[in-house]
Amino acid sequence: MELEPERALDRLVRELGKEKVLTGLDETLVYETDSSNLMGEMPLAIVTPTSVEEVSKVLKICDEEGVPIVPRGSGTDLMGGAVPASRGIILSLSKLNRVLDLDLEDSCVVVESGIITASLSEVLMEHGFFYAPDPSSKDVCTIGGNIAHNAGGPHCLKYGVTSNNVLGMEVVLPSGKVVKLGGKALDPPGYDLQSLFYGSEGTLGVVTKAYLKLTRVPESRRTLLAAFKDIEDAGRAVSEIIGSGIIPGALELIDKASLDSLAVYSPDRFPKGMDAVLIIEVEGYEKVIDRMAERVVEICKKNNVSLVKVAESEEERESWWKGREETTGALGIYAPTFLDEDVSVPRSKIPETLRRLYEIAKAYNVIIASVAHIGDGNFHPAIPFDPKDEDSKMRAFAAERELLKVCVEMGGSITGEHGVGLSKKEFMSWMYGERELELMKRIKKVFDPKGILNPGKVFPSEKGD
Amino acid sequence: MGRYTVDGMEPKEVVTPEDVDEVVSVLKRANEEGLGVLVVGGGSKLSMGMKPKKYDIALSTSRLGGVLEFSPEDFTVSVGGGMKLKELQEILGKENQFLPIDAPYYNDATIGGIVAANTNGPRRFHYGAIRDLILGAKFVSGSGIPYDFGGKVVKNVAGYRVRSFLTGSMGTLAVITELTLKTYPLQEKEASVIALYESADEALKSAMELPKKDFSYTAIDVLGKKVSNLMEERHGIGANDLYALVVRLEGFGDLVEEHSKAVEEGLKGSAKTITLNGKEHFSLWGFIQDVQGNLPKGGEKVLLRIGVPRSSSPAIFKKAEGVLSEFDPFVWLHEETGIMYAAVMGGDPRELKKGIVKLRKESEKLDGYLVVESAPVELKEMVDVWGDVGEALELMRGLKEVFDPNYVLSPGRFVGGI
Ligand SMILES: Cc1cc2nc3c(=O)[nH]c(=O)nc-3n(C[C@H](O)[C@H](O)[C@H](O)COP(=O)(O)OP(=O)(O)OC[C@H]3O[C@@H](n4cnc5c(N)ncnc54)[C@H](O)[C@@H]3O)c2cc1C
Repeated sequence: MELEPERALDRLVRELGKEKVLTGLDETLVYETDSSNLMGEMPLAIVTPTSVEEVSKVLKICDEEGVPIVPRGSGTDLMGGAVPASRGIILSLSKLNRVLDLDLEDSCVVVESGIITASLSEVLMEHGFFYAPDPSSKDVCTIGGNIAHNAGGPHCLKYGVTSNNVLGMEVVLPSGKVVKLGGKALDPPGYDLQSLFYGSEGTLGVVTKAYLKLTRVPESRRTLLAAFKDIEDAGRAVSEIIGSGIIPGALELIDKASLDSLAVYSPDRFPKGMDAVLIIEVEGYEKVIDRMAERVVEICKKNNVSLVKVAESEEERESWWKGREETTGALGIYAPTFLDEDVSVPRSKIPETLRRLYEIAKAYNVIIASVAHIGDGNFHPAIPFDPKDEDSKMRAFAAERELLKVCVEMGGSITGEHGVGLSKKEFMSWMYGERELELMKRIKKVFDPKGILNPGKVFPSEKGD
Repeated sequence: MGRYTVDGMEPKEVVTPEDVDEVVSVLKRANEEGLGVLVVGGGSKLSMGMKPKKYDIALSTSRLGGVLEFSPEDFTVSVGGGMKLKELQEILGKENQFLPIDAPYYNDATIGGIVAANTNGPRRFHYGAIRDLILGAKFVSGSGIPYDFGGKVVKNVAGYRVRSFLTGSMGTLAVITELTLKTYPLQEKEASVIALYESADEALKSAMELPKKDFSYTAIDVLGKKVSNLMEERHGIGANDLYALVVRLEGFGDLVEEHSKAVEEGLKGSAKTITLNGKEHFSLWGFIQDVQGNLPKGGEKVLLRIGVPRSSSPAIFKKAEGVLSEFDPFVWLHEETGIMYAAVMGGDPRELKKGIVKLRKESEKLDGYLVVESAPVELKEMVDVWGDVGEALELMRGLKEVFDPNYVLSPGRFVGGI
């Protein structure tokens, strides 16, 4: 179809007004990229609707005029999913950011999709509730982006990822149609269209509203640090903790390579010479919290832990979490930047996977340092490199490729929570056959027959692309 | 009536494929010859849906069962689509694990059937629905193409979540041949507290007013008088024509003990309270998750499922009792999930239809829905068992045509005549 950008822009301005359709270079320039730093096409316009009706109009106009749309929350996408792969508009949800209905009786809050994830805590905490999914980017990213990526975080072991915490949503299709999926009444009849939206990366429709499930803030919490000389022991301890009926609120592993760089970067955080450190947070009723912590200690001891302790103060707890956060900063001791990976393997395969990654690191003469949401098998290996040094860059990318291959071999996924976007679309064929990819494409066509929604993402390029 | 009878229709043929290839060949033939195929798992939910437009082949999944891989340390299990829930729970139980799905028709229900019908139980709000537990799926589409969306990891956002999309599709998209599911550890201790009340109002009010944040509960159910009497009949728990409020507690041993005492105290206004532990506790919940399977046999049973936002569940519970009063209904409510059931054992179809239409309107007013899960054919011809799914229907039809373009699977049984 012939692209009619001028006519489309005229129509958009007429319907929404000039101030919501920005075309100046000053405005469009920053939207060429997202947190991936990949450069895309210069957008024709940044369109910022303030109501669902306006979103619907924008979609309808763009569909009729054949103008590609990239829906955008806060642009914290690490895989280039929010980067325009072809010339079109950016549909920013940033002005659709209200809390519409705080309904404690139904443990539900209804929000517009452009709301910042962490801003919900302010609203909910005073009532003793929280919204559980907690990606590290929560102070910036939006609920719409979280749904589009099915985002997760440290607390997802116990409370589930985004899809486990969303009861329903409102979406707008390219036809302009507004469709409500699910809601406060659970398990309505019909096909489970909601399932398709989690992780759809803006390719099926624009999410405008979400019905979020609220979780009660637990009465008490204990945080433990456990350091192991052998990562196999750490892995076994993790399985036993969960097997004992305790599902920790968070269960994070810092691997040897990360500990080595931390030892230089902030030497006093963690014990030295360890293969792995676990940060374990148990949550529950005050009455049993110490027993839960004791049980975790016992299990760690049984599995040859070198040091295990319960945080004695909030400062101590924060210092451990700070250490977890510093793992990325600490990589600066090796190189100015790094590739930030996001993969997933069955939990019991993490020790073996990490061993394979160290072999890869050796073979390519790079460092691969990982932190893992070990409870659910999702981990983030990072590969430092110097972007000015072509050789260092090539080695990092080659090692990354090998790493992804290993995770797929282990029965895992090329992405646990960051998505496919532009960066990983060519690896999709490692996970799916032609048939499965074809089925997904045909599903997309049902929602977006002309292919205007976030084109060029998720699916591997076809010949001639 | 035979085992494969559906809405008074008998299949011309029953096939029991043993592997994916055989499923493919049955479906290919059905496409070529324009046949209608119904997938039959345990046969427990064959009454769900409109009367089929065609019913030539019953495709039984009974030979597609079994545990294919159980990895206790990963808390994952892969099973054939025809695996029975009951057998699976027994196997998982040996490793102190379970699948947190309390689906009805416990003895017969298969995992594939539970996914297809999206039947969840009283603990659905606490542990999540079956769709949340699906890590991977293999299936053969209605067009006869085998697909592999098999994954074994909890976190995987590569591509669309086709693996869980089949939830609730009622066998109209694909034959599910394999599923990988997430399992949970059993808790150290469980107990139930039952409180009996003279009136629905008191029972519902107590349920709403329980200071929930103080208790490690996983389910709260309200049973109407007739269901409560059935409980007495089956379990000898003194119900005596009273409403029952039942709370399920799970967690650390002494915590559960303490909480059950506190719940008992919190429910003072009741005529009687009982705490159950151990075997009795489990068999009670076995009954509650499967009231529909425990209903008296025979007659032209009508079973309704009504979903509303939780806070509206007292209102709809009383409406259901009122509207259906002349049919003396069995009613029970999974209070935490806002899902209730009403069953009547027969009656004049025209009058029943009026009642259903009225109750559906009431549920919709509360932002909910009503599904007729079982009814005689005569009634199904008068009322849409699914109700209106709104603007989403067009998408659903489009998706049906992607999976099953010739409408071979359960033709005409699903929403909007799909
Ligand atoms: C420092 C940092 C840490 C991070 N940590 C985590 C983490 O711990 N866990 C995790 O899961 N992710 C993490 N991320 C990745 C990212 O923050 C999440 O994926 C987040 O959900 C994206 O939200 P966003 O609003 O920024 O979306 P954007 O980046 O704007 O968009 C992301 C994708 O969603 C689509 N999209 C956005 N809004 C909508 C909508 N309303 N309707 C339809 N499609 C839409 C876009 O088209 C794009 O494909 C991190 C990113 C950074 C930069």
